[in-house]
Parts: sequence; structure tokens; C-alpha cells
Amino acid sequence: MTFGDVKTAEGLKHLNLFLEDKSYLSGFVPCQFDVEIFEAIPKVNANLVNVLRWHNHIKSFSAEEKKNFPPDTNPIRAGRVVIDDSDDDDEDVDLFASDDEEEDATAAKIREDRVKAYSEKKQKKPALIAKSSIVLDVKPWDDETDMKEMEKNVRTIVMDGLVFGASKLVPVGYGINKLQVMCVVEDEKCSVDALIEEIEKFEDFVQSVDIAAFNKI
Amino acid sequence: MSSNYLSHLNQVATFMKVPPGKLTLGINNVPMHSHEGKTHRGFLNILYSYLPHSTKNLAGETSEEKAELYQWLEYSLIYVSQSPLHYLSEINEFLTTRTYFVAQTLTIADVLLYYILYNVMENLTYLEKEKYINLSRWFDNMQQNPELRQKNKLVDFNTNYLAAISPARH
Repeated sequence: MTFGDVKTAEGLKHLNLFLEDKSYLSGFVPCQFDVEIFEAIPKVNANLVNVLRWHNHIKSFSAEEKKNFPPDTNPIRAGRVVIDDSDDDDEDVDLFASDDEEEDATAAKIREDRVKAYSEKKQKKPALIAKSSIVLDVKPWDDETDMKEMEKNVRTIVMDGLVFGASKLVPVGYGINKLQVMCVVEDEKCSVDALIEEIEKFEDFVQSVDIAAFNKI
Repeated sequence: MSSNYLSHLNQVATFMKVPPGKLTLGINNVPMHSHEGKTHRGFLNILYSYLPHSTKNLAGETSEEKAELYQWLEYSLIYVSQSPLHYLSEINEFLTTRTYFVAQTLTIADVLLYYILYNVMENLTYLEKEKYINLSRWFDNMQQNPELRQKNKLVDFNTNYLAAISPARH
């Protein structure tokens, strides 16, 4: 229903628009909903021509005929008003509800069980933790820098989710070596930038730190 | 048009669940009908010969309704069936205040006009359907009756397309 309260002028205006291309409020035969709204509107202004037409039409039925109208068949309203549809299966308006309540209950149970099993299974399996494998190039100031001391210092860094791996010295030239160290970080706990900053704090040894390789595991 | 007379009569007879009898076109394309030894000549005579046999009450209640009904039938035959497109706006205007053509119930006039207008309505564009909104409403309501529609297709009156043109109204 696209019209509001028919007791207000605004609602009547919307009803007028609604009835412009429809003969009845719901479906293609008069139903109880027509009667309900009809009774809510005592008199129709002549400028609301569509409402007037509909009103006159509903008025033409006798009280007895009105009583025999089919119940409200609008699926939109059916969700709001509780209608016992179980005994008139031939009225094909109950679009989404199942027509067999028992079947519905068992189906719901099966679904529930499946959801339960699934969530249990999910709990058993540890959540996948996103990790990255990084190779860092740590460059010393000059050839006199004590690389062993530097490596020892670097390995003192302790951060949550950080694990150092193998390291080696790679010659750069003129007797200068750089330290390549592998490490694995958990993305959520430890940021690479913070790690690099930590390493650069050993100013006596470290000139700069670069990321040589970065792989998501 | 005259060839359509017979198919219209056939459809009306099927809707009323009466035997259509033997329908032929006589002199000057006047439809002839013979059934159980009786012969009727002319469209309306044939139509009225069906009415008493039908269980449906399509003839109107009061004499005023009956007279109105007869006028609508004549109008449909003489004017509308000859050049339907010219009469759409007139019919549309009439239906502004009406749910059905005569009285407040389905009558033979609605039935006949449905069959006469079917070909036209089927080929209208959405914009034209919108223009003849009252006629469209009546026609849409008519065609929902499967007995009436018979083998005809449902004419689409979906206005979603028009929402792009005048969103406020749809």
C-alpha cells in the first residue's frame, strides 16, 4: 500500500493516485480491505475522482455482498495482519510463506542444526592469521662498523608477533657488508614500519634499513 | 473488421459458456447464426440470443441499465470496432468515474469491449497506456479474469518504465 492514513487529506491524495490505475485496493476483485478503507472514508470530495469512482463502486454493494468479499489478499499487508491462510491453499498470494506449517518446523530445525554444526566446525579450526615474511637490509655506516655487534643488537628487539629468522652478511663493495635478516611478522600485531624504526634506533651501527623483500604468507 | 465479428462472437460465447452455434457471414457481411433450428441475423441479435442461456448475469438489472447497455453495445460496434484508436480518449474519459461501463458490475458491454480493444491495447506504447490511464485500469482489471481473457495474452501495464520519466507518480 502506497498511501498513508486515509483520514487525512494527504492520505486521500495518495489513495487517489493509487487508484488511478487500479480498480480495487488489492488484487482484481473487491476484498475486505476495500470495505475496511471504504468505511474509514465517510464522504469523498469530487475532485478526488479516482477515489470517488472506487467509493461509488464499493457503495453499490449491499452489506450482505460486502460480507462475502474474500479476505484481504494483499501479501504486503499479510505480513502485518495475522491471517490464517492454512485452509485456503488455492489463493495463491502467500508468496513467501510455506503452506505447510509442520514442514516449515522441520525445515527450520534442519537449518538450525546445520548452522550449529557449521559454527562448531568453524570454532575448531583456528582462525587464519595473516603473516608476512620480510627480508630487511640493514646498512652500516662504514667498513669499521662491527657487524656482529649490530646483528646482536637487532636481534634484541622484541615485539609481539615478531620472529627473527636467518641472517647473513652480504658484501656491498669496498669491504662494506650489509646485514640481511629475515623475519616473520603477524600483520595485525606488528607493523613493519615500527620494526624498521626500532632497528634504526641503533644509530651507532645502523645507517638505514630497507625492505629487500616482502611476502604475504 | 467484419471478419473480426465472428471471432468476437465466438469469444463472447465461450466466456458465457453457451454454444456459439453455426456462425457465418451473410449478405453485406452481416453475421448469421443458426443454432437448434433458430436463425439470428445481425451481431447484436446474436449476442442477445446468447444472454438468456448464460448462467452469468451480464445483461444489467434495471431497464435503465439495460438501455445503457444496449447503447454501449451499439457504440462499440458502430464506432469503436471500426477505428478503435479514435475512441480511446473518449472511453478513457468516460471511465474516469466508472469501474465498469454499465452499473457497478461486469456486463456484456465490458466483455465485448475487451475483445474489441484487445488488439489495440496490446500494441499501445507504455506512454500511451499512461495517457489513457483510466482505460488501462479498466482493461487491466478485465484481463485478470482468465475466463474472459481466454487465449489472449496479458497486456503489460507495468509502470516501472515510466518511473524514469515521471518518478513522482510511480
